[in-house]
Amino acid sequence: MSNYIVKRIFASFITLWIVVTATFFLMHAMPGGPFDGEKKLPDQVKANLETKFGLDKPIMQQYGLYLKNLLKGDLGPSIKYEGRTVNEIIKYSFPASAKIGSVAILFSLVVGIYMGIVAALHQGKWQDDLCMIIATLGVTVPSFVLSTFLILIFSVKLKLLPPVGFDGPLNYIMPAIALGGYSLSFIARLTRSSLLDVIRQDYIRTAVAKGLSKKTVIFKHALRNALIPIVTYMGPLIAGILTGSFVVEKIFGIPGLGREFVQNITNRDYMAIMGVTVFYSAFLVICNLVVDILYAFIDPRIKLE
Amino acid sequence: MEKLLQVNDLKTSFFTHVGEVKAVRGVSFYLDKGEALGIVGESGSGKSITMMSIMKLLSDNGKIINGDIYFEGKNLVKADEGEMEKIRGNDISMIFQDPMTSLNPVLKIGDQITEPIIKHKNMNKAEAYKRAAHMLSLVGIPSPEDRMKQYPHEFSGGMRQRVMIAMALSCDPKLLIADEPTTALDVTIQAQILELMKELREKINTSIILITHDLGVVADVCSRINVMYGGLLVETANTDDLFYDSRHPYTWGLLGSVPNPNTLIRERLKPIEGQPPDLLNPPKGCPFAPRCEYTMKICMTDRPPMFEIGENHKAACWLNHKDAPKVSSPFKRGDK
Amino acid sequence: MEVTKDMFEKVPKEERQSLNIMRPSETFLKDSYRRLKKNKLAMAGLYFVIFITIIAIITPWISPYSYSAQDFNLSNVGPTKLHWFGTDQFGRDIFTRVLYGARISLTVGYVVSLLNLTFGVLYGGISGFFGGKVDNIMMRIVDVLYSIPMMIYVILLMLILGAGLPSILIALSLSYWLSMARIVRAEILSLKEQEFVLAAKTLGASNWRIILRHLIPNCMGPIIVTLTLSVPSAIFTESFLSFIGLGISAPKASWGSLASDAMESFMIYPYQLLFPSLAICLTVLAFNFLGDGLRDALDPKMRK
Repeated sequence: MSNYIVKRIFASFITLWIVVTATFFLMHAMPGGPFDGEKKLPDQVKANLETKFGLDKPIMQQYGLYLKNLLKGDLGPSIKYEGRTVNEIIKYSFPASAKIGSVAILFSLVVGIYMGIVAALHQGKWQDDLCMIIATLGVTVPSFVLSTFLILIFSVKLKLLPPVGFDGPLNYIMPAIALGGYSLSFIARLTRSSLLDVIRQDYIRTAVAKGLSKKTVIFKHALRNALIPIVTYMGPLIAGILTGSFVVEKIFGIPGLGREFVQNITNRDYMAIMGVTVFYSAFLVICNLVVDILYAFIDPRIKLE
Repeated sequence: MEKLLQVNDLKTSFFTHVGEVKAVRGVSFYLDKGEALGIVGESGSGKSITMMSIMKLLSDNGKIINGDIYFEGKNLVKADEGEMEKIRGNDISMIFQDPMTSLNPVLKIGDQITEPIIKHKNMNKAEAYKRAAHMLSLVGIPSPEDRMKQYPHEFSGGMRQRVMIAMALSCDPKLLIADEPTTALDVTIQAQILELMKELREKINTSIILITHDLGVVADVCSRINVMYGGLLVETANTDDLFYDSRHPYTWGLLGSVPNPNTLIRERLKPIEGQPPDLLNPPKGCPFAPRCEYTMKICMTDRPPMFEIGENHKAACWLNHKDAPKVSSPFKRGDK
Repeated sequence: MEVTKDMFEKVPKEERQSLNIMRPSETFLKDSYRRLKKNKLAMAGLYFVIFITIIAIITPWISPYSYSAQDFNLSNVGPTKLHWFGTDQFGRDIFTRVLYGARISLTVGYVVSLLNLTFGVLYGGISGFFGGKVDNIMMRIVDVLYSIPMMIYVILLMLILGAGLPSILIALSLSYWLSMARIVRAEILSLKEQEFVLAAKTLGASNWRIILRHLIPNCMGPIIVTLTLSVPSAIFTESFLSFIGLGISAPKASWGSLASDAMESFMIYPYQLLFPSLAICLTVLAFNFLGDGLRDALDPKMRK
């Protein structure tokens, strides 16, 4: 078990290093970027970049310096906003993203798993059809379309929810639905098919043959096995919420890192793009690591590895 | 003697997208208290489905469409889910073919084995664990207290089947149904499990139904044998009579495919030619007619009734009719 | 019933065996197609996919207006008889632009899926077939790529390559073959242990022949399903890129860029957003229905 965890942590570091390296060289391959020396930069930023990141030095040396700064946790200055560092950008905008993101994840997990169970237990009946229609719509409608129509319906027509802003709990509802909609659908389908698969297993028949009630069989014997695939989906789920935030935060005017990132892209703020990319990757790698360890606790068979 | 189980004209079908598969087409048999009955037949003969019907463990598209199943005088066909829950694992329990997949992989053995005890015996957790440990040592699992903290994947196939047996017997069931309990195991382990079942049968006074496709296995454990084919009971007899005075060509075929350890000369095993019938459109006459060496005109048009041969011995074959040509079993007393 | 003596005459072997008429066994593909045909949603999806593909191909000959001609007298007109879907702020006919959008969106969907197919199947096939060290290294690479947020790298690639259709195709193709590779590998790993592969090996078939002739055709089911479902995912991603300003540039348009253009004024002219969105949703829906139907039809576990 601990062997497995150590192995996974080691693998995560390797992944992280590959990601940082790839990002660094991709950014330097970018035409018209700050690193090919053609672009005029504000003097202060330029000076800062040169001393700290060695922009005037050969690329391998720059790479070394970037890694060194990264180990210190320094992602460098923003190119567009004088006096702001990438660390500050992340520090100020990530909390909003994290709040909205957690609500969306919770929403998609709870509702998705619930829908999946209902559908599986009523296979072929109207409850199943209803859940699967909702789930299919969820993977069919792009998040920006969903966001827009949510605003049109709930803010413009019904005037129930505030269209934009990030002040109170009401502001969480529509963004969480828009962000979590796709994952919710996916989780609902995954839960359903997984549960249906588990119900057909021999050990479920054993449980019924022991005289256990249907409730005990489903909740104690079937669900735990059925939810194992959901745990493996947690990594992609977080990644999806994260990417979805680019669009949803922009539409709902949430001052989060996703909106910031899109702004950086529009502004071609390369230091910020690089920094946020590295941050996102690191965040996801850590999430995946946590999920893997969690997985080992939930599925006892994995300890054998 | 009082009958523990009485099955009358049981018919079970599965409704699939291609139509109604008549898996069991009218089966009647009984079981006495303390008796061990063997049910033999190829896969698809309906033997497992008959047992699943008794336990009411049929999948959603399966349905008992006719017949009665009396267990201690109570008709299980009419029992609802709540009543069945009280019977399953308590009065009737079951062991399945594949011990590798029959235990829940994410629950500890102790959890799984105490479940029926807590449910049926009204014991608290500590008492249930004590009883479970006792049961595990009874089936030959060393240091049961430690083993109960482990997960199924930490057990070998044979050990898992022992766990299944311990679990099935944990509530002192009146009837134990063992559905091919040794098929998925290695030959040496098979012998051990059979030995264990025989031993337990002597210790605990439980009636047993043993399902298998291997006549050698039932001969060892059971005093009476039902032979099933094509969803029907084709012959039933005491073990001795079935081996040495069988009256059905299908039984002869089965006997011909049992390796005979008593003869020194290596005999050729005779497989039964052909395939079992398609139960979606079961044949009008005898289901075995297409594969039978002795098929007569009547076999193709009329299903044979159960001919009384002797005490406890019946066979559904037209050869037993008074007008039929005399054919006798190739396996006679003294042959083997 | 009356039993007479003549009924006990013996029947010759041929005659009695003629009784045993089995259901004609269906071939895998025929059986799958029968199941697919029974699934109304999947068939509707199939017909819609064929329909929209034909429309996309023949658009230049059937579209009533030019996709790029601007007419400011006609800007922001709602749906009328002349302009079924209305016009945009430059007076361009939205119906025409949606038709042309189909060309680009479907091109993205199909080309990216086909490139995924080729690369994913080869990568997964080689990894699964050779197994051992080769498999270990190849799959570690996939694991690493899998654990990083692909969309971000698509964005980085787009920044390097510049906006436009070719960049989208390259960026998406470079990032989306992973799941195909994983699926093919898993299938091959289990298939290669089976007898028919051993038989082929014994007969001296070359590795390539075994992979191409024996293994890949036998995992066609999951491949087709993954392929079908990767088309809508590519269309989705393209619209996403368009929305954050990295997709198709004007006057050309994809459904994604049309929708994203309409976003700015969706409170006033919701119809401008409605039609391209509807096009995306219907197409994605159709592919999803088809993919799900194919999965049910091709999954051997579901067969009786």
